[in-house]
Amino acid sequence: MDSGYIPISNWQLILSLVLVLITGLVSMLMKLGLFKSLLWGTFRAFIQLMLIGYLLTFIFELNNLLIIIAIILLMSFIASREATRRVTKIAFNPSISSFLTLTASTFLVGIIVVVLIIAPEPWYSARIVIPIFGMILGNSMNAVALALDRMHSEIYAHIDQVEQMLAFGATPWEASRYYIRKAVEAGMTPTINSLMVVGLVSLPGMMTGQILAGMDPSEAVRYQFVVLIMIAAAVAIACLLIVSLTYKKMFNDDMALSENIRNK
Amino acid sequence: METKSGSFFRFEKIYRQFDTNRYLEESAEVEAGSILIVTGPSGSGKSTLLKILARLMKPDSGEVYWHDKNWLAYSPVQWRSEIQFVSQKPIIFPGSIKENLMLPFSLKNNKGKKVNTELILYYMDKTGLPSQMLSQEAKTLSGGEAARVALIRALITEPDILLLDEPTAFLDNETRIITLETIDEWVKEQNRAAIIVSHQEEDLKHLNYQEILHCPIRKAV
Repeated sequence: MDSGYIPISNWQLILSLVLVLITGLVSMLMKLGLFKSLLWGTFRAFIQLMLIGYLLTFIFELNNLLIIIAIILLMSFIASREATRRVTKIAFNPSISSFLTLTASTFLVGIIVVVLIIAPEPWYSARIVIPIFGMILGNSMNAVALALDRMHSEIYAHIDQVEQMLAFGATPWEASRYYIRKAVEAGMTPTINSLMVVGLVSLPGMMTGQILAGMDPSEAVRYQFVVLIMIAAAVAIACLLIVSLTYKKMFNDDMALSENIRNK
Repeated sequence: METKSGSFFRFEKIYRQFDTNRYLEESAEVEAGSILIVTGPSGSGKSTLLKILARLMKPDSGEVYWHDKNWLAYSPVQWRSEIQFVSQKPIIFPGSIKENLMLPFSLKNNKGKKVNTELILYYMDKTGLPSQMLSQEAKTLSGGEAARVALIRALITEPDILLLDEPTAFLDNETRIITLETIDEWVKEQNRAAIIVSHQEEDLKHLNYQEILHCPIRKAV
């Protein structure tokens, strides 16, 4: 039988350790000193994936809406921590804003995709919701980090221009909109670019997975298409939200540049 | 709250600490139709004082009154468009000189202000900038040209008070004099005033100023 899912047995799993030996041999031959990390990494990857496998199986069987929501909120929290951890040279604390941004954009786009487009039974089927929301989060997280970083560096690099605009009688938004626009653009560009090359340069992981699991490629691409435009929409919303929620933090209550920005 | 009536623009005990141990503490008044000169060594906080008066920075304490009304009674946006600060280093935006001059008129708060082309040409001619320059890319301007464009950009929005930080810093002797004369002439019209930071004594000869405020370097003990 050509199509269909082929499970990996315990024996086959043990056999795959041959691949670890190959990696280890390279490390030893080249005296890379990576052997210990390799063993530890392989062990961790195995344990982590097994655990998440069992956990997901458990969650899928429970299929409880409240638990699903709690998991997605936890995922949003971890993603927002990761997004703001990468933005270092910033004059304000964006953690709450990025959590709100990621939660809002993920739920908005995720619910549209799950309820209206995929429409599983019940609509909150964990098997659909968790991977879909996870993909949205992973991409929005990168976009939020990029947009935040760019907004801060643009405004910092053009602080004299922003202050001059304020001196003309501009509102904080008018004084910084040009740079905020650039930040949104920076956050969205990788996603838009990925739409151009998909299928030509690489086959996305999700589609590859579905094909391996036995899905007809012409069916898998439909899913992939929905996922791509869903990611683009979520990224656009996330970028817009994160800059709207945070640009005012660079100004004080007298609509002038905040001292934090000026002293950076 | 009013301690004195009938004053046009005055600031009382504007205090702000800066650079760890320095501070400024100044009070002064300027009448309509006149100029207040602010002098003092560099590091005395003259530029900071102007930015505070423009509400681009906050003082630690102190009050400003315009038409005998406390500054907080005005919105900061309205305040800044009527009491306009021009920085020492001319700030030029991407685009042509014309686009640079039009920029303030594109703002919501300046909707009521009309572009007066004749006024633009008048000031350009007066400060030695030929009108053909209007379509020139602003980034190609020399420092002295940019300084005059920045000044004209402020003049044509017809604020009530100009806060000028070293307006002649980038100018050669000839354009320096005509620029000062332009400012002097501008102040005399209607209900206007200017506060000018300068430490060039030469400048003072060309301005009909009312008073000099000397800012010393003040160090906190």
